[in-house]
Amino acid sequence: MTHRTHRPHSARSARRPRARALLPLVALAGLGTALAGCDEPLADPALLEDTRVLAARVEVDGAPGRASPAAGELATVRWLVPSPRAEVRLAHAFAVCEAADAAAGVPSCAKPPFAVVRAELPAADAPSVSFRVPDDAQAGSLAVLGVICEDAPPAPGSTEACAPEARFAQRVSLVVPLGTGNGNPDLTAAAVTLGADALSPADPGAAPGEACAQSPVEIRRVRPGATLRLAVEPAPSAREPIDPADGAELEPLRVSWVASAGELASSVAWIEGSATAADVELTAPSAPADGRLVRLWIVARDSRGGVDWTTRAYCAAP
Amino acid sequence: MRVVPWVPFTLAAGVFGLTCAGGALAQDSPGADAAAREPAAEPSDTPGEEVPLEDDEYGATAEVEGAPPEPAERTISRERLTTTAGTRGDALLAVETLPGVGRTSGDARPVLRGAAQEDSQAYVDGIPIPQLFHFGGVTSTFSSRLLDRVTLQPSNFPARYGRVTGGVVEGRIRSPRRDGLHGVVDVSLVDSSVLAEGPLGGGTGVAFGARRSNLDAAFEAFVPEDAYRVVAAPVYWDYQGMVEHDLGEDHTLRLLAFGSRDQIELVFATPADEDPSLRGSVGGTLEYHRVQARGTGRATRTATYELGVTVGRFHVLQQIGPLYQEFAKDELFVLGEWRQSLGAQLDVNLGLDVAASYWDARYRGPQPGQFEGDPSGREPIGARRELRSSASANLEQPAAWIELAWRPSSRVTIVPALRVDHFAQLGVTTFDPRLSARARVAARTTLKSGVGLYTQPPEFWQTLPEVGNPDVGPFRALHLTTGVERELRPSLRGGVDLFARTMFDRIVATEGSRPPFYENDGWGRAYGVETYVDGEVAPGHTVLAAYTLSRSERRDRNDPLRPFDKDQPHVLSLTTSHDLGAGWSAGTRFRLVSGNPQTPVRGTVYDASLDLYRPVYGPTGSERDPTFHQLDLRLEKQFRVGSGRIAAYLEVQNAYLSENPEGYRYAYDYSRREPVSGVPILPNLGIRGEL
Repeated sequence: MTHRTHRPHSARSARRPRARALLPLVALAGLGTALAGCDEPLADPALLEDTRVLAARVEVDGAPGRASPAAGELATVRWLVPSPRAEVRLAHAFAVCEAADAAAGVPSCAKPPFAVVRAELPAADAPSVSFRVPDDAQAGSLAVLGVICEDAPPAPGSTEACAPEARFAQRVSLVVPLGTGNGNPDLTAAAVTLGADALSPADPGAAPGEACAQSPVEIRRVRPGATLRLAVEPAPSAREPIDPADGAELEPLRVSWVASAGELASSVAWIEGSATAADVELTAPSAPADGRLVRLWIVARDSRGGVDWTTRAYCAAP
Repeated sequence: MRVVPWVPFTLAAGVFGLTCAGGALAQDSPGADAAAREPAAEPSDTPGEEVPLEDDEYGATAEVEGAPPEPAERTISRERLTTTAGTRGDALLAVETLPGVGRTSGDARPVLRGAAQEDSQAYVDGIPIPQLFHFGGVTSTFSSRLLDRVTLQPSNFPARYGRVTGGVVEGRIRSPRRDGLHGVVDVSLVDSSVLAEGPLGGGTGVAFGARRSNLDAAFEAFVPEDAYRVVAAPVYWDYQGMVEHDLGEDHTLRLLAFGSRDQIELVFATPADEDPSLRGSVGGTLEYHRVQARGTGRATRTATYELGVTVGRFHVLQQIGPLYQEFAKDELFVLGEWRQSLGAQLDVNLGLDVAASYWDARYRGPQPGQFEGDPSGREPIGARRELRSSASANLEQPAAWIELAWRPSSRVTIVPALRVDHFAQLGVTTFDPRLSARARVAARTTLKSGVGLYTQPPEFWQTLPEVGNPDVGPFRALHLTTGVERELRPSLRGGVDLFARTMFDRIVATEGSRPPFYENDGWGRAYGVETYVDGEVAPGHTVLAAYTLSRSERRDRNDPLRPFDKDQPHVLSLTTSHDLGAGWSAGTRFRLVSGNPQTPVRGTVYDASLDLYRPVYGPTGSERDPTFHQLDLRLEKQFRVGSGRIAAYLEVQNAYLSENPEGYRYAYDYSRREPVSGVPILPNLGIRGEL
């Protein structure tokens, strides 16, 4: 099962508001609730406290930049499941089906699954599932429903539960739009900066929290407690026109950030309108003399099923 | 002898003065006893008003009772309207002290006998008002100082009201004072208001009132500056104005205008972690205006009439980042009544009730769900499918009714009625028969009973193809009530009522909010017992103690029966007011109410498409908030200054800091939760000058 530790009060969490919707369809009622002040968040979504599912990306065989497969095509869904632990072994079970048309609630199947994929033996590889879209698929989208388990197999015959000894267990879902119209945003060429310096995509090889001051890989060093701007600027091609015919309005990109330590002032930012980059305030964690490696996961979503992610790291060291 | 019509349904309960000039009233006159017991007065809204008769009539003074109230009717008298502790002098907030009224926790309309809030309607003199309270409950949008009384009918309301299946609350406006110029200025931490009234001469009186909030002065101090930037601090205002003119002795014409506006706009400093849709600007405005011309009077010696024509405008705009909703509608209401006496034992009441509205709406936001009973409605906005829609609609809803008041004996009144509603946009006509009866079984004891059918149309947007289902129809409810009331001693009453309500063809969302989105596939029931004691327990000391034991349940589609979102089995309210002498007065209000049902979260599914955790719920409404309890206090000191008065007052809501948890807030992944506390101690200091 999921094990998480409660993060102590922090400067960031103390200033985060508890904001709830004023909508829908109720006139300005609930204002007091919406502005109830700065309750302490119960968990920080920008901090990786335990193994956690952060994203899933669809890639079409032969066209990996495309986020939406068409009928008859082979597609693969790759899951991003980082952990603060050095070694993580994951198992999974997935069912793939035509998705029921629903405006709310957990995605579900309109028909029995046409593919069930199980990886019973926990492994270091990231979970993934490949399937061929049925030629006669009638729904506008597919649903990938499953469970990801750490150090344990899925429960026998189930795609919703793990064996009881699982260290981490999480049900997951993904709705995959069908068609050929949308591509994944590409963060390969994105510029990621911390303060004035670029963060290299080179992998330092160490696990989060490990010493990093003597890393053989060149890595950005940040003093514990220092506050800097973390920014990501995708290549202009990362945002597609919403309507290819006129090309005037580009799809917005929602950027999510998660750090293995330290603080991020927000877990999400948007690149929309004429903006070309997103940024967030980062505060480095405390660190011993030999440093503390901090990993960052940056995920971009185009709200139409397109996803990409990139990882960076820095060394918090006095 | 002149036949004085008994005018049903328009008089407040109470003792009315009747002055008969001329001749003598014989002891054995068959009319004497009847006059003392039966409501045989001229129409009057003012207890104690003298009704002049012609010179050749009997010469005597008799005390007669007003028309019997409907079986479920409660009235808050003028003197209690503005002095109930915990309501900041607000008459409509004081409704919550009455039996059968649940705790609304800051929502816009009252919960009446287990009915959903949107199934009840508030009126001011027969005019529907779309927004009862500023900002969902701060204070009502119509000044209490212009009200004569507030009547509450938590069920079994008469045929003049319709289009709702819950209950009705109505503020009855008083006439402007004509005995000189009068005014009130009231300044408190929450808001400031003025009222001026007086005669214009020639049988004309005028009154004008206005109010504006003071919240904006200190609002920014309470907003975390790195979380929000305040563009427009919350401001509300409202106004009321009326001119009343007597056209001879028998007719009165009144022009009335009133309206209200709420506004706020903030900017999020960063998108909210829990719901990334909450970004950019958030805020909105909500306003309405009403203008009415109304004539009332005596058409013949045996008939009275009332005709009111109201035009209105309602506009609401709300925005959260790229999401918005805007509704604007022009409205027309025509309300006409003709009350005819057909003899000593029978009266007939004919009425016309036309409501027409012309809507323009645009919307970008989540697919709307079910009003209640759907815990997913509290999930992040981004968790629901987004839709964009704009629409115009014309809603024309004429209705007519007939009501008879038959008095087979001096102790019994039976009122059968039929209301016919036509919903033009639905092409549906409905017939709602209703029946009520009262019987005085002893000198101070009355039995009362009522049964009736009630119909409510869907919200207009629920019939739009993009959002709802054009085939969805009105839903209905059957109301039953029976009870006894007894005058325990002069000016002290008590009573017990049993009630039941069955709701059928309720409009519910489809499973997963799939097309056609809404269907008449719900059922519900509410039942319970109310008891109360109301009146003066000692000179200068009044009490209203009310307790309601009830259950309210719903079935959506074929799902198991579940508790209504605001099912509150126990509602205890104890309100006191005390004249302490030397200008001092004090009041208390204590409430003890069952916590609202909550739906537990049993697990989560990480939705990688939205990067959100979707909760997997346990049985709907299977948990409950802790019991709510709160004490409110009010202390006032009045000083006479010349011909006027100055009053200083202090109100303290939640005097002993009860936490009163209200639901839960969850971590982004639902791994942890904690109760959300209710309103903390809330003092309000004010000063009021009256002339």
